[in-house]
Amino acid sequence: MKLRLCCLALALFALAPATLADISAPEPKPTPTPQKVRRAASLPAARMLIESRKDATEARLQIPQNVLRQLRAELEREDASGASSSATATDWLRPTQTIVAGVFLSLSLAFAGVFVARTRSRVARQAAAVALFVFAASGALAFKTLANARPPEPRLLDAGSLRRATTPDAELNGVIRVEVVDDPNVFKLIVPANTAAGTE
Amino acid sequence: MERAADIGRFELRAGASSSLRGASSSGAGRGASAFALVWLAVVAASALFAGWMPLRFSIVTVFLFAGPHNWFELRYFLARLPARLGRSRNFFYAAFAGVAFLLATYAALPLLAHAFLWGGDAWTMATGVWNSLLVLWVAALVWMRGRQSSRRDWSWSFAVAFALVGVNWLAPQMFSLGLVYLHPLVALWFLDRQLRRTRPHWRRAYHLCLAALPFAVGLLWWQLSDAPALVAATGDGDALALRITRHAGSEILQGVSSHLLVTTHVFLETIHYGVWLLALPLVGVRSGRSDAPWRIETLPLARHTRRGWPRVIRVLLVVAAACVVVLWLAFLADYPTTRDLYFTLAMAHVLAEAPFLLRML
Repeated sequence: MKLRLCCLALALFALAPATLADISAPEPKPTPTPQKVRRAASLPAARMLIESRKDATEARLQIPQNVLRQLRAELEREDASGASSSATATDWLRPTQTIVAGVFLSLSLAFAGVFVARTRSRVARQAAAVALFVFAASGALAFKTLANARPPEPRLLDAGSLRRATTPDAELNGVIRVEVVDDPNVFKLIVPANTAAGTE
Repeated sequence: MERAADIGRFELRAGASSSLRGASSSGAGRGASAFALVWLAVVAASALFAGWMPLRFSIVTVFLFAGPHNWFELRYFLARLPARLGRSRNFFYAAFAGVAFLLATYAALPLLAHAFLWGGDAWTMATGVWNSLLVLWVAALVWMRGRQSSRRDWSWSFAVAFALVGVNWLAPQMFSLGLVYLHPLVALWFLDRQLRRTRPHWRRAYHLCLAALPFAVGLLWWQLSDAPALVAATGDGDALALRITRHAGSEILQGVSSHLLVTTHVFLETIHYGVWLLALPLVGVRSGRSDAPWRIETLPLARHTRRGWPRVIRVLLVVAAACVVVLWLAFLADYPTTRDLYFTLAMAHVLAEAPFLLRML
């Protein structure tokens, strides 16, 4: 009986490759391209002024130099990181920062251990042991709670009196000149006060 | 054997001295109560004005008190400097060299950023490096101070420093902001050490009064957590309000109301000014040792006949007083620019607090 069962099992094993040999492999599931979601926190914030000037002959948008620099650095970083970057990657922690932080935290543990080993004071040993325990517990807790957590979303910026510039039913449009200015963190849209004949 | 008349006289004298002791302890108690009442009044007034009109209060307090409080700190540090450095020579050399180097690099950062067009990443790296140097310098001073006594082993300072540097590199801008908010509290430690030396019977009242600070901060946060962002109410437009809100960390903590941040920062700064301008000088004056701020005869560097520099010290304090007047005039002429320059150069007094506080421990 046992011999028959073994023979049956062997026969099944021998037949299996023949039956499956020409079945095509399953199509690989297309890996979804991670959507690059721009979180509000990663976008620079600045103040916007819209002013009407009688001496202006054309509309002009003044972009602060420091914001342009920030945007340029952001674009360069995105180009360098490419499509392989994950959508959930923290865009506020660079590899260099992580490496240096890890090195110093390791050094801290090493020096704390040497101090505990060298010190003759019982109180100092107990304090160091408690500190090491708290350090390890906080690190473990931080891993557990924050490992893949999204950074908190910032509160919405207050648009202030810009809402009065237009209404949901109507949009404003025109041609502008764009210039970069030194005034930090203030965008300025200068609109000429005199309207040309026939334009509204 | 004593004569009966002398025995009576002795008892009378003993009774008089015990009643004098009673009078002095009740006087000390009254002094501690007055100190506590003044402290609580200052805390309450600071919290009220900071919460009600944070921008205006910031402008007024910086204008009035920034310069004078630096003068008082200089006077206090001169009083703590010994005429002969002795075993503390290396400690003070490291302290002064650190202050000079860190101040120079701190002032150079914006110039380098402008010259080399730094983006956000470069600023983050530079801030991380500067914060690391600061923490390691303080750790070295702590270790050197510990070595001045055979009973102390403060080599744990390096373990703590490396941990802080590691945390700093995870968020350098946030670490810098933390220093901005923690620095005003260092004055409270100075006051505690000074009370320990000159008014030890006031320390208990002082420690109880310290509980008012977190209570006031908690109250401000509770009331202002949903306050709208600050709108510039200054005649100079938005530039000054922008500087004040950025100094308080509005660009780093974008999820927190700028009204709340500026209020908290101004409140803590006002407490800092109050300690240096009121509390420390009054504690020194009333200790009976003639430590009035304008008297330099008590300074070791001025008093010592062979190693002292009385003339240099006198000229230094007069020049410092003149700088305070110049600062006031500069504020009146161009407040925003003067404010930027002041807070850059004032890093010197922030850095100098570290070694002098360690000297008092």
